[in-house]
Amino acid sequence: MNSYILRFFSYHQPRRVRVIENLLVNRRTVANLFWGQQYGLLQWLGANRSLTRREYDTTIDELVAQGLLVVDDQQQARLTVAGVQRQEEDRDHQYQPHFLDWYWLANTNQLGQRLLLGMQVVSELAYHNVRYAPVTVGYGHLLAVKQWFARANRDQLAATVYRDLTQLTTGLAGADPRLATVLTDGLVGHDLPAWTNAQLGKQLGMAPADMLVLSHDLLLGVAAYCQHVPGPLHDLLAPLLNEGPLSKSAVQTLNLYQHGHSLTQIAAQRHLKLSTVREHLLEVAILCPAQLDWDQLLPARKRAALVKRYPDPDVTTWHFQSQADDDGAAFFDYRLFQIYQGREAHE
Amino acid sequence: MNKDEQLHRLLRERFGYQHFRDGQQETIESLLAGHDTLTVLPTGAGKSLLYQLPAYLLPHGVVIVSPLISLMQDQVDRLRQRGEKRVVMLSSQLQGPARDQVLNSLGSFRFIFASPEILATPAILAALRRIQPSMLVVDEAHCVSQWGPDFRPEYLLLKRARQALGSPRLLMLTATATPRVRRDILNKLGLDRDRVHQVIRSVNRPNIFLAVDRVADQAAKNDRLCQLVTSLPAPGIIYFASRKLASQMADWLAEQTGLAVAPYHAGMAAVDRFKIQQQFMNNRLQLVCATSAFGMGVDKNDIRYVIHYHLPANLESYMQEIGRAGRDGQQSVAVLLYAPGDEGLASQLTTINLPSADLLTQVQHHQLRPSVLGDDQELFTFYLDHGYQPAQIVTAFRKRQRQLAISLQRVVDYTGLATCRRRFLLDYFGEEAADFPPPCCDVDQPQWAGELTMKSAPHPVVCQQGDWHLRLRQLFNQGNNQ
Ligand SMILES: [Zn+2]
Repeated sequence: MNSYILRFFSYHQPRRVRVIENLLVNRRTVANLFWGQQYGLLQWLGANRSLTRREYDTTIDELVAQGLLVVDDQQQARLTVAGVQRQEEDRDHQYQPHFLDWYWLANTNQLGQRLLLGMQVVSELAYHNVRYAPVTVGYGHLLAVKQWFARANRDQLAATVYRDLTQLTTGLAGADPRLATVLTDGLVGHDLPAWTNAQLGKQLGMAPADMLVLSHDLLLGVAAYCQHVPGPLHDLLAPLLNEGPLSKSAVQTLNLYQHGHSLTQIAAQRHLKLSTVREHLLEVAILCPAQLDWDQLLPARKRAALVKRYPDPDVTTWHFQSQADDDGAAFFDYRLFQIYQGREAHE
Repeated sequence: MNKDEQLHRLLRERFGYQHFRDGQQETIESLLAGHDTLTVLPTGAGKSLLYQLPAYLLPHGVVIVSPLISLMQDQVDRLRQRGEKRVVMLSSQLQGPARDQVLNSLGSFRFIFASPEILATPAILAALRRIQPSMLVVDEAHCVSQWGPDFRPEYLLLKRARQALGSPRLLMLTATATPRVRRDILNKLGLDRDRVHQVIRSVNRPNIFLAVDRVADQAAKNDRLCQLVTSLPAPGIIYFASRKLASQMADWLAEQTGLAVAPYHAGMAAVDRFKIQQQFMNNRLQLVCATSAFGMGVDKNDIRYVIHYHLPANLESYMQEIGRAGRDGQQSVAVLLYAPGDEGLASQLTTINLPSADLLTQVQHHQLRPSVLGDDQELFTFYLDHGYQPAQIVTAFRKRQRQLAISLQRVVDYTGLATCRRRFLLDYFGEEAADFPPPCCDVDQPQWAGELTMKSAPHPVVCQQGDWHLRLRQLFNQGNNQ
C-alpha cells in the first residue's frame, strides 16, 4: 500500500492529504475535484473505493516515519528527497495504466462483480449445469444477471460470449499481456476455480500495490470495450456505465443553464438550494469546461476585476477574500475564476 | 404412506441419503409435531438437514438466524447448489430497490436467512410476520448464551423477535453446549425447560486424533509447523488468531514447503473468499491458513488435519474448529501448538476496555459522545439503547470477563494434561466418559506421528496458467480444449 499511496504525492507541490483519499474513494465534492485537477490526479477518481480511513492514515503515518513524506500543520503533504528517490525507483517497475482516461465510466468494484457472476453463469450453461453456488456478490447483481440471462438466446450464449471475450482479451493483451491473464484467470467457471488478484500478483511478480492499479485499469478497459462494442458483454454491463463524467443532477442543471435559465430560476425549478446549483456548474467547469460559455458565465470585466485581486499565476496559493453581505456569489465567482486560470496554467 | 416412510422418501429423493444419521429423525419428528426443540449434534453430523427437510413439509417459509454472514452465505450456496431456488438472505448488505423487491416477495421463499441485527429492524420483522413463518431456526444457538464482546449482542433480541413473528416453532441448533449453556439458551429465549424437546448426542469424534505440541518458543513453533504440514497428508487447515499472521504464514509456508497454500480471513473481499474456498474444495490448494471465519460451513469431507497455531478462546470453539476434520469418518488429526506465554495473547484478544459506570451514564444521558467509550463503543451503546443500565452493564461485563478467563484457563489446562485428552474434553461438555480404544490421543500414544494410519492425500490439481486462449475455451466449453 505504501508505494501505491506514495505515487500520488509530489516534491514541488504540497498536496492535501484528505483530498487524495477522497479522490481514491470517489468523494466528489467540488473542492476535491478542484484540487484533484490541480494535482493532475483527477483520473484516479474512484480508483480505490474499498480503501478505508484507517488503512490510508496508517500508510501516511508509515511514509512519514520512513522519512519519505512530510505533512505540515495544514494537513498538506509533500515528498522528501528520499521520497522522490523512492518514487522514481518504484516508477521503473510500476504498472503503467492504460485506461485511466475512462475513470468516470464505471464503478470498477461493481463492474467486476457483475462480470464475474455473468461469466460464471454462462460457463455453467456451457456445461449444462444448473446446480452450482453463484459467486458471492450483492443481491442486485444476482437480479441483474438473472434478467440479462433471461433475455439472452441461450443456445448461442456461450459461443457469443466466448467470441466477445476473445475480442476484448485480444485488445487488452495488446495493451499489456498481464491484463489478459488477470482477466481470464480471475473468472470463475464450471469446475474451474479462479485465482484471486493476490495470487495472480504473486504469479506475475507484481507488488500488491501494483495489482490494485492493474485490476482497476483492467476493469476500466472492460468498461470502455463494452461501451463501444455491441454484444452480450455490452448488454450485461451497460446498465453500470455512466454517460459522462458529470453526476446526473449536474447534467440536468447544465441542460437548463444551456437553455438560458438563470441560476435562481434553476434552483426554484429543481427545488434545490442555490448553492447546490452553483456546485453543479463548478463541477461542469472542472470536468467538462467546453460545455460552458465562459464569456457569459464570467464576463471579461469580471475577470479583469478578479485578476487584480488574485494576480498570482499559481492558483493553488490563492486565498478567498470574503466580502460583507455575501450570498455565496462572490465565492462562486472566485472558484470559477480559479478554475479558469488554473486551466490556463495547465494547458 | 406412514410418516416414517414419507420422511425417508423425502430424504432419498430430495437429499440423496438412504438413512438418517443419529439424532436427525428424532429432531425432525419433534419439530413436525410442533415442539420447540434444542438439538446438540457434533459438527459434521448433518445439522442443516434438520431444518431443510421439514421445510418441505411445512406450509410456510422457514426463517433461519445465523450469527455470521459468511456462515449464512455457505448455507445459501449449498441450497442453491442442490437446485433450491427459493432461498434468500436478509442482511444489512441488502439495500435499496433489491431489498424492497425481496421484502415484497418474501412469501415466495422457502428458506429465509436473516442476520440477528436485521431481525431487530421493524420493517423486516413486519414483512416476516405477514408471511407467518412455520419455523424459526436459531443456528449456532450457543451464541445466545454468550454475553459480551465475543459475540453478537443482537442474539439477546431473539426472544422478542420470535414473539413478533407470532411465536413459530423454534429449532435451536448447536454443536457444542455444556449443560449450563443449554440451560442458559432456554432462559434467554424465554422457554420453559419442561416443554422443550432436547436431542443431545455426544460431541465426541472418535476418528479425530487429539494432540498437543508444547514448544519452547515461536521459532520452534514454526519449525514444528513446517514438519507437521509436510508429514501429515493434505488437505489441512491451520487456524491463527490474527488475519495478518494468517496471511504472512501462508506466504512463509508456501516458500518453506512448496505446498499450495492460501490465506483465508474475514478481511478479504467476499469474491476472494469464494475463490479460495472453491480452490480448496477442488484440491487446488493443499492448505489454508485461516482465522476462525473459515469453515463454519466448509463442506469438505476429506480434511485430514486441523492445526491451531494459537490457543482458541475456549474449548467450545476448539471442538467446532477441529470438527471440520474427518467428516468422511477417516482417520484425522487435531494438533494444538502451544508455546509458553500464548495464553497472554489469547486473553488480550478477548479483553475489552470496560468503561466506568459513570462514563456510561454520561453517554446514556447524551452528555458525552459515544466515542469516549473507545473501540467497543458500538457494543456498549447497543446495550444502553436497549434499556440496560450502566451499573448492570459493568457488572455483567466483569462477570463475563471472569468467565472468559476461566474458559481460556480450561484450554491451557488441556495443553498440559497428563491424562487422556478426549476424556477431559467430554467431561467438559458434561458427558460420561468411558475408556477410548486407540488411536485416541497423544497422552496415551506419544509416538503417534509414525503410528497413525492415514489415507494419503489426493493429488493436488495443478492448473495450467498463462494461456488465456485456452482458459477461455475451457470456461465456455469451446473447441476441443486443446
Ligand atoms: Zn486419549
